Amino acid sequence: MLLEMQHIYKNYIQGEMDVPVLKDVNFNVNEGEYIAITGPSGSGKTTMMNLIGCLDVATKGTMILDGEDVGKYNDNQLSELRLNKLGFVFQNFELLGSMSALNNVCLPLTYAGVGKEERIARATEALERVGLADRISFRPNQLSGGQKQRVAIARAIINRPKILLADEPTGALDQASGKSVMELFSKLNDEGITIIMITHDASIAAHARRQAKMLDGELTEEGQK
Amino acid sequence: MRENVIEAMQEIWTHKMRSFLTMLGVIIGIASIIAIVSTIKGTNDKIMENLVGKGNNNIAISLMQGESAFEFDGYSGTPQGISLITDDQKERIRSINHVQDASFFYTRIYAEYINKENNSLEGARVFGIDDHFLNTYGYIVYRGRSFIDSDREQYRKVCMIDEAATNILFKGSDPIGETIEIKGEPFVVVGLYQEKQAFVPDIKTLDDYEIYEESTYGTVLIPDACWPIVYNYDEPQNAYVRADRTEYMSYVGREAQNIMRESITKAAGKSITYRAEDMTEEARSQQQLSNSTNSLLIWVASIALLVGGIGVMNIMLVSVTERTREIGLKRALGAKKGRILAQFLTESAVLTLLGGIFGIITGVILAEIISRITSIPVGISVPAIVISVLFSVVIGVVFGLIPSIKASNLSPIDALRRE
Repeated sequence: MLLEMQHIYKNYIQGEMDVPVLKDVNFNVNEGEYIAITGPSGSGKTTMMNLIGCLDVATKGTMILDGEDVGKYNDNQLSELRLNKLGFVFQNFELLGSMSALNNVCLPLTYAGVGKEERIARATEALERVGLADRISFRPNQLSGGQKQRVAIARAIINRPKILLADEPTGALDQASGKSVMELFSKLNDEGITIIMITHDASIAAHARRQAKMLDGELTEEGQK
Repeated sequence: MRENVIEAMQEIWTHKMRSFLTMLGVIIGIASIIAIVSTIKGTNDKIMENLVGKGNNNIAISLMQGESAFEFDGYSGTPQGISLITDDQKERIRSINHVQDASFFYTRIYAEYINKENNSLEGARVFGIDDHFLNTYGYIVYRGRSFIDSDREQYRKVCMIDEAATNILFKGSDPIGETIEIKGEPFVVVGLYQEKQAFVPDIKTLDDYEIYEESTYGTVLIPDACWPIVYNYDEPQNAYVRADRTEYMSYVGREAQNIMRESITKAAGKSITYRAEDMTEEARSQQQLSNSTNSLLIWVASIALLVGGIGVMNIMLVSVTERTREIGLKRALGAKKGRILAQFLTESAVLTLLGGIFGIITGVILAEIISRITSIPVGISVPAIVISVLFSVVIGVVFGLIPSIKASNLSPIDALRRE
């Protein structure tokens, strides 16, 4: 089991109110799965993503990622986990405008302390993998939306993560670009990368091989393809 | 570290105008300090050069009465209770550590009755010299000859004169072989002498003028053996001692003065003694005066630097706010808090370091301009430049600390959510 979430609760404090966002969530993911978590706004999808992405910790419950009990980790240990086991793809790409595609992709390797030559070789390979071999020196403002998202995907997979986490990956893309990103996800999943995607779009979710639905902080599974 | 510096340079380059305006405070602060320090150094170097002489590390040890040089007025004769400096004393002085050479001589300041026909020297100096004098003082004979042993053995009435005396007494004609009168005694001019190194004094004040005016009245050198022919027998001698380095001048002067004081007995009276004039001390006290005036200016410039530092902090805080999403992204990608802290600290330090470098360049140019306009000498101080560079980095680190801590403490979720 790659990810085990058992009886997860997450509350946010707003003023003096304790607002429950996740209520007794149980969620397991095996290696190589491609899962979509869907649900309307405010259902707790993003909180779920933050917990899986080790950007936040649960108020109650146990989360085990690749055999490690994340609940007891401090800030630096969570950073290590994000660096080594997780890759993020965001709706708005989140590329740094002052850097070339290559340098954007290199960022996680820089934090991992990889030497310059190896960084460039691996980033070039990752960009080739997402079909952008001819765009490595382009800056984000010289790329189309679809290309930017591919750079972001290359960045997410460069450190060979256990899980690729995608938050509305096609939300800012036109249909054609969205489709090609989905095709890329399928290809990466075929190559063995576990993907957890969060989306409110049922047609995008349909690309996944397994779907889970969030509603009012509770998770229900809709069966496996 | 290298990545942080490159990233910092990219960020500064992306916001060129803003970065420059941020640096401006540091540039002005550092430039003012460099300009002031250069002026202080230039003035101090000049004071040292004027008083001590460039490379001419001579100390005069003179017989003093109270605070002024003992004057032989020609009527009271040789002062009582002062025995002559013996050969043994002379040798001991020459063998003091750091002494290159020492000369012992008789002297008259404001000597009268030196004539060539109708021309006469007023207020001239006459020296009765030994064979160390020219070397110790740094003089060379540029025409004719110096004194030789037989001049002293046979009490030949020969003399050497300097350029001022030549001009006054001979008005352009050749003095070699001509005879001048000193107190009615005929002396044949055998040589003309001058300083080895042309030292052009920088005269701006009345004090400077008084130091150098003596040299314009003319000087006459005669062999020490001939001194009693025109002046008195058994006059006490004065000395010039040359140190090998400027910093040993005070030490050498003190040691030589103490040996010479052995010749003074109680009969001489309390007020008469040998004293080494300490030009380095004099120079130092003048330098201190100029330093204390200018240190006030440095404080004012430091305030400019402080304001510059606050400007840097302000812009770094703005930068952190602007780049909150970037910080969130980096944290999500696995950057630790320390990494974010280091990134912003580096950026702040690089910003102020560049400011410091531009400040130094501006300061040096400013100092040159001040020097051209006011003719105050300027000396570029390497330690001041090194300290300025380090100090500007320290400003960057100190004033970048609060924004950097703020950046590193941002929660990745909040940072990514920020619009």
